[in-house]
Amino acid sequence: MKTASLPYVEHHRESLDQGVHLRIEVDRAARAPITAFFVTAVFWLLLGSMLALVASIKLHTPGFLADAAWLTFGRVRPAHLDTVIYGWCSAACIGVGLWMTSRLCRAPIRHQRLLLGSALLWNIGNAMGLVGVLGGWSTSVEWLEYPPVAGLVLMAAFVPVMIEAVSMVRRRQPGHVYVSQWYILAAFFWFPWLYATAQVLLFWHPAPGPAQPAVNWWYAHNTLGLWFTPVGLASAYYFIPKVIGKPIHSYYLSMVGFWSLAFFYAWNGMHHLIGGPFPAWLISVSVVASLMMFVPVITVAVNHHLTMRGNFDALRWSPTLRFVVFAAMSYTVVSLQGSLTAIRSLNRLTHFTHYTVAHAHLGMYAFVTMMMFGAIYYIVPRLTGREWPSAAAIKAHFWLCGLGVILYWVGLSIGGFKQGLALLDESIPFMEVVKRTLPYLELRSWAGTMMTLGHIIFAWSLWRVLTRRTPATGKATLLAPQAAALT
Amino acid sequence: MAPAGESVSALVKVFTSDPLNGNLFALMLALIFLVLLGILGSALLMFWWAASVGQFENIEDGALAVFDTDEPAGQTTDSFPDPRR
Repeated sequence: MKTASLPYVEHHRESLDQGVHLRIEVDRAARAPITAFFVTAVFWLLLGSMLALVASIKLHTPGFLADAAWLTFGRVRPAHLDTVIYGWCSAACIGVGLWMTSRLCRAPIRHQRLLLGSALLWNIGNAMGLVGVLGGWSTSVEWLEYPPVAGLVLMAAFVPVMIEAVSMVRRRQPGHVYVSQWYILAAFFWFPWLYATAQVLLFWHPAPGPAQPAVNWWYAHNTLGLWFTPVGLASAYYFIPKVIGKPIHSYYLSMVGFWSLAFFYAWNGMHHLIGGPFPAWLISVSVVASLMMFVPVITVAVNHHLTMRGNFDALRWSPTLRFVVFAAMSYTVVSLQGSLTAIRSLNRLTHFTHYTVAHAHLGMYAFVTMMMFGAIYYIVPRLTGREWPSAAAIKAHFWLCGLGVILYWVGLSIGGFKQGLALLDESIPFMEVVKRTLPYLELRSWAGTMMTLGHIIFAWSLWRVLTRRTPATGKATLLAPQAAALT
Repeated sequence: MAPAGESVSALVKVFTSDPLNGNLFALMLALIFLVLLGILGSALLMFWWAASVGQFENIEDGALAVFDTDEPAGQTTDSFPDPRR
């Protein structure tokens, strides 16, 4: 039987070819700008990891690299924070967000040169910021330590990203706007909005003393919730169904999760200021909003779990899924932990302790960074047409980073909790409290070393792909066979 | 009853007259509050647009938007590279 002569088969083949061609065109158009964001992001990840290690070692071995002013803890620690937030995480989020938007809108990126300029400017901004912080010109505002001039450059660099995102949405093919598109588009507008407002109210027309921490923590918390979280969740909603080939369990729940995040999250940040000189209503609103976050978090957790149910076996063969599922589970844990920590009685115990540091790393590393690793493992072979060099390297990367961050979180959470109890006991001298935290701080350095080793392996893999030292993609990381034939 | 213009200028004066007595603090909090409302407003605007163009109709079908003609539902799209390498 000549199936090729049947009209519906011909039609199917035609639409299949069109789909493949469009997908190839989307990936081809994204290749240069997205790769630029990913490569430079990994550079900042490595640099930020080294700065983190130096800062961590100094906490239990204060004499380590203590003779140079630019390597003192007060400079190295904010340099680590900002390079990983803006240099690594934000650049990775921009790349992943733009690629997913392009794929889901089925609209190729049009302004490659503009985006390449954006990537260049983004890196110039980070370099200026890093030099500024290490040189002693830090603003001392947490999450915004870069000198304001670097902030201006970062803002300018983000404009082309917004332009391209809007352009793709306007050119999108008719049909449903998938939940990941909602998250990404919202994040691409919320982040510059937050960043610009914080820059104006803190540096250009500075708020008076007591209002500055309010602006600071409103910004810092919302950057996590309205920038990194939406891109992270968009990735989970895209890659889990895509990898296992199964639609999300309840699309209705996914929409509830998005809209409740959009409505509730912006009010959260002030719970960082419990006990501070602020109107009680302001803190209370934030505590209530923090507890309201149970709604989007539980809907997302239930939805992801039910989508994965029956497909956990896929974790054995999919590198992307390993990282993405780890990150999605971490999102649930960090969000529930964050909501509970906003309760005044628990906050009184954990505030100003290492518990908070552990919580922040659970969010920014176990959730956001692991999600970006998973996304990049999926995207890069499609951009370059080349396979990752080694399954063993990917597995080593996963286990070093996964176990590293678990060790980090568990160790510092226990250490921070005990530190909080000791700090509230006036019979214990302060130095005794410091000494009690030392084993946990040493554990932190070991955990950080594991994660850094994972990053080096990841950078090695990426370097091998980009220098064409790996085979062209076969069906494994999949361009489908039809696509492979057409490339 | 004072004209609206006088009320506005009195309000501005309250917020800006003396930064040291805390009025500027109130102004900053009000500004943050306005930005918060702006973010909430943007979410409401998106929600209104989504409802008006029918994004919430046949909502469960939207879950299929992630799949393509050549990467349909039921087809896995990722795996480790060849373990022998």
